[in-house]
Amino acid sequence: MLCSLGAVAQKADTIKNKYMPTGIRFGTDLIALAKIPLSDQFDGWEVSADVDFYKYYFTVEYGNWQKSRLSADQSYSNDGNYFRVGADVNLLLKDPDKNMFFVGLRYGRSSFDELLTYNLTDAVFGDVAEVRSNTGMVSGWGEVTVGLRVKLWKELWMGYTARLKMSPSIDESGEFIVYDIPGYGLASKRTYWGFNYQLYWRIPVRN
Amino acid sequence: MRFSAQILIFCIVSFLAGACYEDPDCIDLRNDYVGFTFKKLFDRQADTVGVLGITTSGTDSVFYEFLNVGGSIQVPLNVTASSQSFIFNLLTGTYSMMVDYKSQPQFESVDCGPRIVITDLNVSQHNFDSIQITNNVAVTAKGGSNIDIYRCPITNNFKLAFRQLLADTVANGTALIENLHNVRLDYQPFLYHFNAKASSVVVPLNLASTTTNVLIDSKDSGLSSLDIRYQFETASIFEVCGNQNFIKNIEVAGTTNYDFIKVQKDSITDPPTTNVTLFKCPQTNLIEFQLAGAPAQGLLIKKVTASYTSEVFYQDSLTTKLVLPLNENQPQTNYTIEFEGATKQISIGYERTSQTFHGQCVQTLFSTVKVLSSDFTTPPVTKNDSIQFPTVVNFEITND
Repeated sequence: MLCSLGAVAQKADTIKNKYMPTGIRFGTDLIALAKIPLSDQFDGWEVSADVDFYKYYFTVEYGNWQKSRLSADQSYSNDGNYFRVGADVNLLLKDPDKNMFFVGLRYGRSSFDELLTYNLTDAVFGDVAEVRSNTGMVSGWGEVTVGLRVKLWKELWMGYTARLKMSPSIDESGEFIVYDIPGYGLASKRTYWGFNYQLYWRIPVRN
Repeated sequence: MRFSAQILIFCIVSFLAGACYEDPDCIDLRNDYVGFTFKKLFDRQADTVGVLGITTSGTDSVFYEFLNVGGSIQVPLNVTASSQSFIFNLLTGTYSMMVDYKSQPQFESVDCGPRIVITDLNVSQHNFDSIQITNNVAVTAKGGSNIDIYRCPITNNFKLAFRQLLADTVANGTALIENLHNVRLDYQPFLYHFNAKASSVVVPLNLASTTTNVLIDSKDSGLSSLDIRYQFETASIFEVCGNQNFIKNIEVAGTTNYDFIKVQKDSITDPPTTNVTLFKCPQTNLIEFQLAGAPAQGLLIKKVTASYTSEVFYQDSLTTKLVLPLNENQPQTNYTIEFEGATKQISIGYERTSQTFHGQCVQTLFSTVKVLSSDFTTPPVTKNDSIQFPTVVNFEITND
């Protein structure tokens, strides 16, 4: 009787230990950083962190996104911050290095401002030059993610996350129709895809 | 590791290629027009409206000036405003409407320029009989409608038709197109259907009286004076229209050059249906001579006379054929045809019978038509020995 009770207690401890986090990874998106010098229309960064609970990883991402478009007759710019929270499931359970091939879900939310200036030719009412702004805009969306995390050296990890973003909520309180949602992309698209190439440093909390 | 690296490279290349698809396609349409459709409350179908002009706030432009409009029309909206007033100058009166809307630019791409999206169209004021918003998103100049404009039934539009009966049993014959000088009414100073060619006319009867005189001045049929008598019945068919006087028990009398008058429908409908028809009986006494060898523009005829009448036909005319009336009271008719430089005689003989067509037209029919004598060098050639309506060539004559 005592033996069986002890076995049950040991099994419970094992399960409890299995779900105890082993480390926290902090990372950044290299593509966002690479785009800054390569494009004069984009400026931004994104950081992320995840922590493991057995094969489940709680993930948080936070970023900033500024885009601009400029031509002779019009200009557009936006600036905003966004975050994503969600969880991934590691499908490679038997890898000794805990390398990951994962699928996951995210909820994203963005708060941002937009500015549009344009000249419009109108033969009936006359040409117009307009400045319109959207301030304090908020949008949310869902994501399905898939990706890899690979241990490169000691606690240095690298990986990518491909994400299918969908169903953005469009804030209609602005002076013009929302064009680009930081963290999501073109508001006119009901589905959108994204890609992050990430570099992580892991801080182990237990073996 | 090697597998992971391959996947990473693949995905980076895919990302760079995918960047090409960021910009949306340009939408090359300006959805900044409001569409109006004129309709009749009576049957909710499209109405044809005489438009003198439509003006709108923010511009001096006049749209649809002096046009008959059937179906939808589109008028531009000011994309920098949130409301716009319209003045409709129609033949039936002047009307106004205030349209409110939400105008928002939509950035497409630097190549496309902004697209203006106008939504939430609403009418805040109007003085038409009734309106209905069918679509609150602005349309393009090419078509589409947002607002249906309804009018109450017009209760006094009287329709008069002209018909030519034929020598057959087909009821009502064919439409007769009249070259009108005008049509006048005894209670109005206006000229209706001025210099128009028409097989029917619509004129408004006097709602302040139970009689209206209609004077039809036709280049073909002369003056016809019709006295239209009628009664009123007051009814409210549509709540928005209130009580209206509807015309019933129409009767007609008068003097015309038509053979008879018939009341087809003794009440007024909207859209109008023929109330009264003026009929012409078939002309069964017209003989046709083909002028052989005549140039395309015709041969010059000084004049043609007939033995039984003082009337002169084809005076100083260029023609390729002669259509002349036969004498219904004698078994022969003699014609004198004056060409340029020559005068010819021809005598036509025939048999006559009488027949009544359409219950009203007592007609003389001509058969066994033949040339009794002529002084044409080339003898006339017989093509058809019976008189028909519409005419056919009976004889071919040559002026040589």
